[in-house]
Amino acid sequence: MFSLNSLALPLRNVMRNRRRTLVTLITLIVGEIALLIFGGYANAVVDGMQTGIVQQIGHLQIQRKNYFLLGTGSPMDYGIADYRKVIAAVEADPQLKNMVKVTTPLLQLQGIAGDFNRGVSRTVAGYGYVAADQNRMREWNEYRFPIEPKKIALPEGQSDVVSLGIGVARTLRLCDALTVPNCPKGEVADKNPGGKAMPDDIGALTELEAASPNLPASDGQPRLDVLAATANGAPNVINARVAAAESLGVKEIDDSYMAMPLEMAQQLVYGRDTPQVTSIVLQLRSTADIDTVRARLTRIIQDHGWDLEVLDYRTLFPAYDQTRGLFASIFGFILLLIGTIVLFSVANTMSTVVMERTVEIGTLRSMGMRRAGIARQFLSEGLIIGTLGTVLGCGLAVLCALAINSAGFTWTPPNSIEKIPLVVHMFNTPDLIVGSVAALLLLAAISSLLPAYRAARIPVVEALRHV
Amino acid sequence: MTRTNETRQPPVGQAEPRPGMSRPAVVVHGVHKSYRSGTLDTPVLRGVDLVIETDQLSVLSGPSGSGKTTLLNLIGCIDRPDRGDLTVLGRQVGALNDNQLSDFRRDHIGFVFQNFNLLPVLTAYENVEYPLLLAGVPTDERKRRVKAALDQVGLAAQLRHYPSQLSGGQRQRVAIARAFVKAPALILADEPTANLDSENGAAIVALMRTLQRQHNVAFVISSHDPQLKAHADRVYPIRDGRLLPPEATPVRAEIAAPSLV
Ligand SMILES: Nc1ncnc2c1ncn2[C@@H]1O[C@H](COP(=O)(O)OP(=O)(O)OP(=O)(O)O)[C@@H](O)[C@H]1O
Ligand SMILES: [Mg+2]
Repeated sequence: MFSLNSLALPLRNVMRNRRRTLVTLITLIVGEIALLIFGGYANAVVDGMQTGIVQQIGHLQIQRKNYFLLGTGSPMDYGIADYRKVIAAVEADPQLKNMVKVTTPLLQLQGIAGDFNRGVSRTVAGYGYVAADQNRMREWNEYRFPIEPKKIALPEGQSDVVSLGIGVARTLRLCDALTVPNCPKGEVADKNPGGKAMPDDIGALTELEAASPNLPASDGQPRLDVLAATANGAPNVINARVAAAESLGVKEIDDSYMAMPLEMAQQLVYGRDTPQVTSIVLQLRSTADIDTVRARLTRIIQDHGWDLEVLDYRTLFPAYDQTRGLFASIFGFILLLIGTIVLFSVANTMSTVVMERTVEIGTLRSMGMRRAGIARQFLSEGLIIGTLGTVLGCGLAVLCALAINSAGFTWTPPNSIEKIPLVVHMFNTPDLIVGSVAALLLLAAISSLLPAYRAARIPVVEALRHV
Repeated sequence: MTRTNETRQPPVGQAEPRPGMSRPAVVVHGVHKSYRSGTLDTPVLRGVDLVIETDQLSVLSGPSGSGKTTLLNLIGCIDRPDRGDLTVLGRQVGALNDNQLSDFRRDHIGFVFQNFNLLPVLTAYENVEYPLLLAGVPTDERKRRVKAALDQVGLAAQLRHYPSQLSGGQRQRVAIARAFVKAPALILADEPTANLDSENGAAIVALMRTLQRQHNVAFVISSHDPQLKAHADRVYPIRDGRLLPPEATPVRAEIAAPSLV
């Protein structure tokens, strides 16, 4: 019960001037909290972004070589003809089976949608989906955001139906039929009463191709003509029901988005030729497996001699890495500020401590403590303060995070029009906590180093004479 | 704490072969020391020759500023002379580096200070224990020796008191116990009674005398306290950085140490 261990003396010295220790601790605690909360918020934003992207475009896409760079405008030249074989090969692979959640074909096309009788039309980015697969992809929530999966507006298992982005629905004057929000009233649907929006020859084509004329369907659903260039260059038109309009969260996308069943898209682009797709979308159970899966896919593609490549969501959606980079640089800036404050705060405290205890240094040295022993004493004190501060800071930051996460705050991210939950992600990876604690501890050690070194260098006699 | 084996000696004195009785504890030969502040060079010791026998209580006496502390610091191996030789406990200390000197002090030299210099965050017990920790003495042995040392200075009841809870006299007793606990061959005390009233000073003097006899240690004290001179085996008067011929202290044999403990 009496015995001293090597930490007892520094520990008691730290506790000796409680007020000063507390002030230094508060610097560390506030700094640690700031780093963790901001870092956790940045993590959550990036995780949220990843979740949104992965729900929509999957983790990996198999495409024809250079489709991504050169071919997006010409699905007829860059289609994957034997996509069923590729999907079968992926689904049959025992290694991929456990990691891949959804494998689904996708055909992207450029088209024009319009109600040519009413004289409204606009260009659209068309997505030929397997609706059921897309809905399974929307369930992906690896980071456990407090949100329910939202089904896409395209109904499952129907072939003659499309869904629109709300912006498309507005420009096509389908506000009332599809109950689109934010529609200006009083805008006349057809500013060209003559229906001159569409050239006559294409209008004629419509009448030939369309299964039924553009009359309101019996169920009251509006209908649209969808027009796209076929593989052989001639335009192709399909008349389809519009099931619903939905918001994709980003206005630019809402203004051009049109989803349709894969078969309809294939018919538009390839007509009676072999149906193809532009991408095979793979969604993984966990983002962590992405490199393994990519390597395996590349292997499979090579083994079959296919002219395909594998792209990940970060390549397909460059804004993800840009956002990450932005947050990383803001975090770096905050770390720099906090680090500087911690550095000076601890260094100042330790210098004062050394000054005050100069006689004690002389006493210990005269008793036979070596210089290194003196340095170790003060270094230990700096590290004790650093450890206490960062650990307390971590604890408080965790409490703050739990409070924020359960408060149900929401926010609207930049470039988006949809509110999402505001949460803090601290624990998904240990990097943030371990990194910030290590950084502040290291700074506390560095700032104690010089005072400790100076303490060790004071000549014994001078230390003892100190008043 | 790592130690160079070269200077590693049995950490504490009792089992250690003492330098032979014939060999003096300290030999100071032609020592000069001056302090430089800026360009100003103040000579403090100007050629000191001194031999201090083991098993004696020696007093360096002289007026303020005469160089007592300076000489004591040299003998205690916490300072180095500008010129001259110093042999402490048979060791040419001029040849030792800083770590070797530290280890030498840890193993062989105890200090008592005018201002007691106890560590304020440690209890009386822990203050006395500290030198044994530095020397790496095992726990049980440590316990035994700390208790014995505090017993000898009459503070068995104040083990758990912090320095702030002790009187000046009691603090100096703790400091004396701390110096003796490792059974060093040489103990140095710089004006150990200067911060005490005469009654406490007298008690401390008597205690030091008793302990010096019990432990057979070379005890060197700087002081102008006449009580101390009266108890000394030898008195070395210093004036202006030079040693005068030793004063005989004929009374010393007759004065019996008051039994304090
Ligand atoms: N570090 C130093 N720098 C400059 N001068 C010093 C230093 N230490 C001591 N001196 C000077 O050296 C001289 C001797 O000092 P020293 O402390 O040895 O005297 P002393 O005999 O112990 O005096 P006192 O009885 O007052 O303690 C004094 O004049 C003092 O001013
Ligand atoms: Mg002095």
